[in-house]
Amino acid sequence: MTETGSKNRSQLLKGVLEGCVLALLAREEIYGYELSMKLAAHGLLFVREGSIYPVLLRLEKERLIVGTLKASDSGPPRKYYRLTEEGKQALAVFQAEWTEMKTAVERILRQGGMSDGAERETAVGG
Amino acid sequence: MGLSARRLSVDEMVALNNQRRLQLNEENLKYYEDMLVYLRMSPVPQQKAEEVLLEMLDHLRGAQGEGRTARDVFGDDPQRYCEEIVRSMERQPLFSFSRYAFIFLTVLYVGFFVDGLFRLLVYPLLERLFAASRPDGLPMDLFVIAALGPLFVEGIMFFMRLTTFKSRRKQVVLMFFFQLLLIGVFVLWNVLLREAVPVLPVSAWASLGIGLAFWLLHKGLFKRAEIF
Repeated sequence: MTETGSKNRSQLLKGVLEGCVLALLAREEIYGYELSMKLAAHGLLFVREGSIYPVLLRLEKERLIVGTLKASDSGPPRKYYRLTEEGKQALAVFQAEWTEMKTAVERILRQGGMSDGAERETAVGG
Repeated sequence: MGLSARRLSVDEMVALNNQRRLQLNEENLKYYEDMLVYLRMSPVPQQKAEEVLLEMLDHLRGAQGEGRTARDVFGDDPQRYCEEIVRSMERQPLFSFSRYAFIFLTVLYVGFFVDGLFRLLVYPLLERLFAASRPDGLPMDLFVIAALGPLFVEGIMFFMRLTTFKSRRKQVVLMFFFQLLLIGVFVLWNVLLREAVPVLPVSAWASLGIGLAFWLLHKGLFKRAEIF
């Protein structure tokens, strides 16, 4: 991949990663390491594990999530994150935008394939 | 989840960090400790910095257990990573009255104590050996030094951030120039100002007494406050 290509990709991924973190936190309270493992398990393997910490700090600064370092009875103290009301709204916005973008991009890619000729069209359409 | 909701204090987190850090191997420890110095010396709230440091440490311990290194987790450029962490956090305000007062009062009580002890213990010796004359009071530039104290602390923190990720050789060179600068300022201050500085006419014992009073005030004021 070219340098420009990878830069564009990292900008795009930043927003997507934030949305995915919000989505995972909407389901349950979770701590950093567990969160990065879940992202990887869902196939987000191109994101470096450590890059979730700046994301969590940013989301916390924007008051979309809250993290509390809690002493645990069984294991070591960990910082657990959960979504705030603003976070839930931000997640809804992300979901709507993502669906819209996904549909648009897929449409464009499909049309691009069609103009290239019948061979590509079969490959994309089929 | 079996969790108690009590928030951990900064001291508790530091103690936990010291203890857990010992489990890292040499390579990961070096990588992690550089980040630790950089983040602790950055203008961010201490509570937040210690929280994220503990999270990063726990993450690294987990990764190490599965055969991954700090480089795999945080990337090849730890300084850039730390800069992004700092950018993502809420910045500490550039000026905080309580932080300023904390450093100001610290310099004052230490200054008065040192002045009292010098005049009681060191000057009698100097008088006998070199016939040096004992000052009649406390040089008032102490108040200027106390007022500049916070700037000095900022300077040291900036220097630490500047050198943390540099090679050992560069660190030594930068440290040399930094110390040269400090000694230069100290000498100039003494040569140029010593004669011109007015003296606060208090006895050595009074200096110790005032030092004690400032110390008690310092202790009382900042017992519970979160300064940094």
